[in-house]
Amino acid sequence: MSTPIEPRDDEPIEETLRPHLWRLRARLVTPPEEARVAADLDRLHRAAREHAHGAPTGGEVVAIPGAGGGDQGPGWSRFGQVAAALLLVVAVGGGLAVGSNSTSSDPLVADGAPQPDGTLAESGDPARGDTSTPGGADSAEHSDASDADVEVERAPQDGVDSPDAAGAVSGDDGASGTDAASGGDGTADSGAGGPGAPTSPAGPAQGGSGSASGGSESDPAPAAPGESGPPPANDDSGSEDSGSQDPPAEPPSGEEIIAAPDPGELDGFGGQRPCPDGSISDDCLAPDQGAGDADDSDVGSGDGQSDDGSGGAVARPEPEQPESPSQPTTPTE
Amino acid sequence: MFGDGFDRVLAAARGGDEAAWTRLYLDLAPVITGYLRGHGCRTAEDVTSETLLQVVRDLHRFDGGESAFRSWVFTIAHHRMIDATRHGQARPSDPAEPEELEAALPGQDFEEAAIAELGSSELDPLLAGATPDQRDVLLLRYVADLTLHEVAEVLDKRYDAVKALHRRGLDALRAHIAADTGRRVSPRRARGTLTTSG
Repeated sequence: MSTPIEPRDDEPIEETLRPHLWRLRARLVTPPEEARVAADLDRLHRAAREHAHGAPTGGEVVAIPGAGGGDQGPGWSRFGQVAAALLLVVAVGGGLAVGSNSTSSDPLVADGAPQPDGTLAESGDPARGDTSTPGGADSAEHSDASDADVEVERAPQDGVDSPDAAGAVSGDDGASGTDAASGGDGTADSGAGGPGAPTSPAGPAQGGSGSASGGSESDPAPAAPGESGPPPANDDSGSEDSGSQDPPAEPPSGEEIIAAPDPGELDGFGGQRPCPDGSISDDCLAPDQGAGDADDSDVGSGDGQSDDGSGGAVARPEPEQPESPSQPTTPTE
Repeated sequence: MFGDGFDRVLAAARGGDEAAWTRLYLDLAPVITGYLRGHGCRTAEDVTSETLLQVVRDLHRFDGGESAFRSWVFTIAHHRMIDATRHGQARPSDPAEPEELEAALPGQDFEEAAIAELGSSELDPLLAGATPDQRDVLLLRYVADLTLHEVAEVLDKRYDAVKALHRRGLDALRAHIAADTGRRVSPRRARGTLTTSG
């Protein structure tokens, strides 16, 4: 019934019907006109260039010229250049705006007060660091999105310029600089976070959130100088900037603290020591108490200068107290 | 039909190769236009262009061989034809008066001229006796060279339904041929044999 050229699922066609079907096909299927072909092919080729490899993405747009679509390449590259320039302008402008806002809006941090809670400390790292050092604030903010490398190099200089830059504060600058660098990387990838963060009021928070991990470690730093806070944070942060910033800010310098106590006088007695005549009295303790004051100041100076050696040297005698001969802790007379 | 070289042509078309798209156009456009003409579509060429442009835009979504590709293309063409028909119905043309046509075409019968001008855009007489569904099946089978399974995919119908439409469509053709030639073809006895009546 069915001929070999027909599919098996077809209805069999008698010989008298087949010529009619062929003639029907010949009537309907005719080659298009040349003008029509030229116009259709022109539209088709243009559409094919635009939709090569599916939906055009950034990378595919760049790859289109190599695939033969040279007409689209320069336009897209120019568009990319313009977009990059706009992003840069927005980033710089937003950085200026946020810098000015941060210097005027957060005086608590500038005073070195402790952070109220952990959330603020994590979200506002760049802003706090900038407010603490007005001179260095702008540079740090500028570099949040655009040039983090430059900012990292600028941080010590800003700390030098700022007259009130204590060791810990400058250390915070350094920490914020690193935070900004990391946050800048994260926002630069997205293309929107970099410029968007500085321009919007929540911009610093966004930038800080991107660098929350790095900034949280150094967050206690601004609180440290006023209260002689935990040494580890200050040591980490101040180690970068100690040489240039600490001397004008901290009354007792690290060198003075080292020179103040005589190691020979501190052996084995801690805070109490015999007088030269062999007796123990409060008068003879006065120099040691001065040394004890120096110990306190050492802690403070160590915060800013990262004088691990000096602070540690002063603090070492305290563990040595048990080694001291069983001196009476109470004055004998 | 491209046969074994279809995959290379399709890959080149995905990359925006103009030669590949030219080959696809020359292979598909006449058949698509013929399918649309068989339905009496007055803007068959325009619908064909729109169909192929949509193929270009949506090619990244397609995955399959040549037969699947042709089914996919005719699915687009079928939907485009429906859209064009609805659009034409929404904006009916303003017919001219017979006197105006006579004045424009002096010395000619305007009715013959209008019929000649319509040409293949009018429904083919052979298909006049078939229902639209039967025409769909016959055109896709004998003009687009799709199998009945592929026709079922294009029309989004069950295979059994398409097979029934195909059989009834052929019966309609036989009846038309018999009426046209003065011979009558019995649908019951025409399965493989051609009988004459009278």
